[in-house]
Amino acid sequence: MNPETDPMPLISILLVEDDNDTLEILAAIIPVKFPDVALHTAVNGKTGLELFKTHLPDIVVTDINMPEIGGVQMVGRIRAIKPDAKIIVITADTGKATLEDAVGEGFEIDHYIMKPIDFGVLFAAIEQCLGKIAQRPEIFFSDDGDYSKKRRTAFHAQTDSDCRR
Amino acid sequence: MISIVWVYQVHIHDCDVLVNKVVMKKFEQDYSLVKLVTISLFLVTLISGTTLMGWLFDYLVFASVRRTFIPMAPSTAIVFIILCGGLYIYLRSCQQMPGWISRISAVCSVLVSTLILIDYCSDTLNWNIEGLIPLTLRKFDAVTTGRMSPITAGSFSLAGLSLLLLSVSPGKTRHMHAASALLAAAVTAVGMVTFLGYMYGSPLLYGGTIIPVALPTAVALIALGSGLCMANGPDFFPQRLFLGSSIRSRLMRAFLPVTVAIVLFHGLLDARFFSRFSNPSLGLSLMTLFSLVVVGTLITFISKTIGSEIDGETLLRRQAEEELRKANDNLELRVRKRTEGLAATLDNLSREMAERKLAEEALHVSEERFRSLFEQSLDAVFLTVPNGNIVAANPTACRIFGMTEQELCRLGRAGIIDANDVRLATALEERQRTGLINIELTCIRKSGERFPVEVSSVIVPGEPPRSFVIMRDITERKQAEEKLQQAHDELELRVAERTEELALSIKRLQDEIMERKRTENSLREETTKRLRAVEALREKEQMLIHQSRQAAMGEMIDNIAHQWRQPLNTLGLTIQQLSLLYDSGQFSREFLNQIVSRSMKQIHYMSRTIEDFRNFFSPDKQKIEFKVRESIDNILSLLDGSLRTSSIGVEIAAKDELVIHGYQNEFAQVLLNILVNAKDALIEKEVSDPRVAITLSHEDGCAVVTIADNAGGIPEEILGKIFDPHFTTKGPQRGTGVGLFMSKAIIEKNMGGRLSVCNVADGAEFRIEVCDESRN
Repeated sequence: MNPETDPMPLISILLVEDDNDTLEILAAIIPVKFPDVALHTAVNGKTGLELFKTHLPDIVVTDINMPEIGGVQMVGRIRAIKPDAKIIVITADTGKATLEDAVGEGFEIDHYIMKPIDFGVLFAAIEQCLGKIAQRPEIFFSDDGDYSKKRRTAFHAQTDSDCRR
Repeated sequence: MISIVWVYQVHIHDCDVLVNKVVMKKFEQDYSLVKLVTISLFLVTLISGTTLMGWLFDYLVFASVRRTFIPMAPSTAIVFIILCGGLYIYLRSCQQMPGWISRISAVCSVLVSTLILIDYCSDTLNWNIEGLIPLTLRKFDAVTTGRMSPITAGSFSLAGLSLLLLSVSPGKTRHMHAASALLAAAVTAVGMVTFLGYMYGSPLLYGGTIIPVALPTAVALIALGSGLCMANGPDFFPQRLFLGSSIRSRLMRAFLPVTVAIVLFHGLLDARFFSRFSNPSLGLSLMTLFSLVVVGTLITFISKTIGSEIDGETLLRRQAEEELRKANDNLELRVRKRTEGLAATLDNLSREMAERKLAEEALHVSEERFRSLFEQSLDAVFLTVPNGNIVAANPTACRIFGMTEQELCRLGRAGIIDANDVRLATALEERQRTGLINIELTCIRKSGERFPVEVSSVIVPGEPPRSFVIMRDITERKQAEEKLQQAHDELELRVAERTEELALSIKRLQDEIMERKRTENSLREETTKRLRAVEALREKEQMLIHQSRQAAMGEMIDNIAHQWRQPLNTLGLTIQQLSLLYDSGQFSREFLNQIVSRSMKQIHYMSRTIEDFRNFFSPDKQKIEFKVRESIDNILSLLDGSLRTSSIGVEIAAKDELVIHGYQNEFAQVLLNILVNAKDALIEKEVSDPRVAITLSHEDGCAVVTIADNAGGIPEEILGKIFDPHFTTKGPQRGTGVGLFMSKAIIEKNMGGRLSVCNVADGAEFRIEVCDESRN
């Protein structure tokens, strides 16, 4: 599915992951689970940011530890562009400290998923995000600043256990 | 049966021999036979002579007994006499009677009898040899008396032949004797048959045309045949059966005659008397009963006699054998004992001889030895008599006194020992009392010079008593002794002085020793203290090593976690993908292969990683040659995960190919410590572009590895302490302060190198230098 040619792409997801194998599997699986979603993939923060600017996806699924521009840095910039973008962070044990530090400094995310990735958890997180997007009357393809008011500090509200409902 | 009758005659003579238990010897046997032969010859000659006389004087004794009896023919009587004469001469031939006479008589009788026989048998011939004898012939029935019967003629032929064989080879040819004896036996048989005819009342050939044999002729034939038989000696058939002392012969002699006599007697009775009885059965029964009693009694008697004799002999023989055996045993025993005694004596003798020989040799050797001792002694030796005479003196004595042996012997003790020496009288008295002395005396040389001698003397008891005197000229010794005494006195003096000095030195030394002992004690205490301190230090070091191992282990586990995180994630995704694809219906063989290969790739990667770590942790057993570049690459691959996570770039500049001889894993541990420190510092300082630069080079034959980071360097105030144990900048949670201490120990103690640190432009630089020991 090509989001650029598709007339009505309702929802799009940006997937950023520096590990090729992981990226490849996720890119293969997500469209299977969510056939109506447009998926964009990037191998590092820099490419991810460029794609985000181009497609303004609703949901960003990203790794933390990445070369060039790291996950935290990239998400910071994405927030600046589209404050209500749903952010799902994938992190390993080592990245957890970085993430906690970042959250402590006001970094907002909707979900975080520990590696190794459990599809169930990932899909539940994506579905939850889709659900939230569906509750909103607006359609999200502008970089309108209004949405910034509806930002929620997801990290504190949405815990890992929520995602496993 | 005929021969049996003949044997009975022998038995008559033989019986007394048997009963008297005399063992017949060969010559006695022969003598008895000769006697028997002589008797039979005498009998034959008597019969023949009487017959011839009867014919001459016409008074025939026998023929006058009964009318039916015919007389012996005169020719027969002559031939009988010739044969008897021949045989008698044969018997006496050993007593200068010529043997050829008997041979001639034998030939004559054979010729005459043969001619008569041929004349009688032939119808054509009519020699009438008997007609030469001028006698009146009578008639008896159809036959003429006074003429030889053909049977008699045949018998004479046989008898003559027998005598010829006997006389031709007396005692030489066994076969001839045997033949002669057989012929004689035949003659006897003929006579016996004729005799039996008369006994049984029906004489042979009576009533026919053939001239019968007269009874005297028959008796004479029996006697002649027997004589001829016996003349052949006891070794030939038939007399052989009955002669000798063997049991067989004795039994034959005992039983056969009795048996034959009974049978004959029975027959005679039957023929002569029973035929006249009206009841012959009664007579026969009486006869049988009589025979039974007689035979039984006889046989019992004979058996008893011979049996007890045989038993007695057997018993005697056994006893004799037993005694013989005992005697033999006894003899053997005595022979053995005697032999042993002789052997022992022989041993003793030979031992004694050997000893004597040895003793002789020893004596000889001893004599030689003593002679040489006497001759070559360096001392003067005298053989003397206790009263003062000298018997012998050795050459040394002559030399010392300047005299010949004769002069010395002539002078005696008084001439050579200074009589003025007061010690002399005492010495002589003592020697007389104890038998020996050892004393110094003064002697006089021929020149009159007096000189001191050492005298040893011993009296040898005996008759007369002897004494040995040994003298040694001790002039020189005396002089030397005097000198020695002087030297000794001087020495004593000097020793006394020296002793005094030494006593002072000893005092000083003792003081010094006391002082030193005190010092040694204090030193020992100090040493003990130091040893305790060293021990404490060593314990501390052990603890540090333990900690360092734990720290390294923790570090490694951390690194493994880093290395495995990514592949574990990928593996997890891959596996989960399976069920999703299956549910969505997109599952295909192609997918499955892709998933399996991807999974295996991750598993291999993990396996390799864990193997690398394991190798890193295995302890080094021995020093090996290893490439530094390889060690660095291995460590970097182990650290790959954590370095990548921290985005730390590593640059390697290998100017030279470095090879180090040492413990590879320990070296790798040092690299690991330094790199982890750099990483920690870079993370802590949050350097924007964290980098680590590694260089490899040779400097002055040493391998040099530098590891520099861009974390800003180590503060100058702690730069000198970073290799101290327990010094850390990382805080109690993360650092133990052991890593660099251990690294320095490994490089400097175990590998003889150097580990140092300095600050460079934008960070710290660790420098490892390892010099090859073998090259230096």
